[in-house]
Amino acid sequence: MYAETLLDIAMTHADNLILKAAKGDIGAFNQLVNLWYKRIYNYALKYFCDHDMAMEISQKTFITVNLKLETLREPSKFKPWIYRVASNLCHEEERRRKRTHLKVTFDTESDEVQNVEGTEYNPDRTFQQNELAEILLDALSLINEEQREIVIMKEYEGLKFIEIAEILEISENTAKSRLYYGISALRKILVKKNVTKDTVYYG
Amino acid sequence: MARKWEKSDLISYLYGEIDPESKAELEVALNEDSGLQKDFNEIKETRDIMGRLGDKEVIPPQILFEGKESAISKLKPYRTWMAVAASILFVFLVGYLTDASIKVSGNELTLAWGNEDSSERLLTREEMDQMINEKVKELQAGTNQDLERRFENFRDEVDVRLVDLRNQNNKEIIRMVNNETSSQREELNLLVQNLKDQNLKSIAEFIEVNNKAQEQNVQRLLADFSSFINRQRVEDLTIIDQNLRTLRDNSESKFEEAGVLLASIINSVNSTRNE
Repeated sequence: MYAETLLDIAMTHADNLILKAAKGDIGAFNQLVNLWYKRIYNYALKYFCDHDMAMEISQKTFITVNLKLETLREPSKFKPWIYRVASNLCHEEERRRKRTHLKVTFDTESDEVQNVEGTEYNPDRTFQQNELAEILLDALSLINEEQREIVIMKEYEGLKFIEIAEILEISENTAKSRLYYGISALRKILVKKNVTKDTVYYG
Repeated sequence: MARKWEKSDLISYLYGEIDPESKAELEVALNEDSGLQKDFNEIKETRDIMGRLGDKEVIPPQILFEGKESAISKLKPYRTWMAVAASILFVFLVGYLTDASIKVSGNELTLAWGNEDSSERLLTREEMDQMINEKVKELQAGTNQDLERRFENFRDEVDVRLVDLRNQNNKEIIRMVNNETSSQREELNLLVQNLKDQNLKSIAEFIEVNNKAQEQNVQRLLADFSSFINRQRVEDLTIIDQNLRTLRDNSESKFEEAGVLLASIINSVNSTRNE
């Protein structure tokens, strides 16, 4: 869940830093990297469920930011702008990956849940081994790409629907619908894996 | 007429992005409509579970790009002195980390890294002299043995030949003595003279052969020694070149790191001062 910390406050009050970085101030740019790197890394990590890929996307994002920051007219739009850069890079990488191997995803419009590898989870054992995070990451990776990115943006990055709509160039209602279907798909996967409220909190 | 609630409305309510009026209406509807309530509870429960997936900590890499005005460029007037200071510090650091040692003795400069390794270290002057002496002694010993062997062969041949000649001479002398004629005496003198000449000639040949063999051995010895010195010199130069390259590479990378660290420190100081 997205919680406001000192880092978050610094990120939302970084207009001066953004202006300096846009003018070529390396120090300011490095501070921007320090402020935003963790967020972009975690966004990409949840998107791909892969540390190496997350690092690569993060670095590409900041290279793009460095090259194109001067085109950003309003510093207040930096947050949706940087997520758009990261999102576009993720889409690009996803397309490249799809060309090389087929991936099993959930059809969220259907009531039937497709077969997923490793569904024979024992929740007790799994939770004892602190593998819940891996299960949840795995579940995220199994849902539709469009729904996944909205779940991440809303649930973990704390973006407002209006910002998500701006980043993805869709309407707010479309963003909300995709989020609803994304959460529904996640529910089906979690039920299939025996991960429910009871097993998580009392297992 | 009751309002029809969309999935997007449930999501807006779930994330607190709903206007107060709609919120109040939806809460009433949730209390009255069990199907809607079930739907909402399911997505809420799923959201709660997914919310347990936290962030992973990551250390941002130090990223530096060429900018219009870099932190390092602001320090241009002091750059040379900073570079010198950083280089000296770096050299000490590398020396400490790699156990480097520099020795100067006479005309000899020795650079060494780490503990002494007998298989790879450079030879000292004393060791090189000792090695050369050993090689020379070895060659001398081989040459002496060769000469002794040749001398023995030659002596055996001379002995055999002298024995043959003596036998022949003895027979001739006995025959001449028996004849006891003046002409035969002259013939005997001539024969003795011939024998003396042949002996002298043989000794001269022996000495000449011996000299040639010694000359060849000395030349071979000098050639071997020269190639040995050249080979050793090339090996030493290769090792020195490799070590210098390694030192230069390490220096460059450490210099870059030092520059990055200094820029970072100066940025922090400037930021603090501005605030």
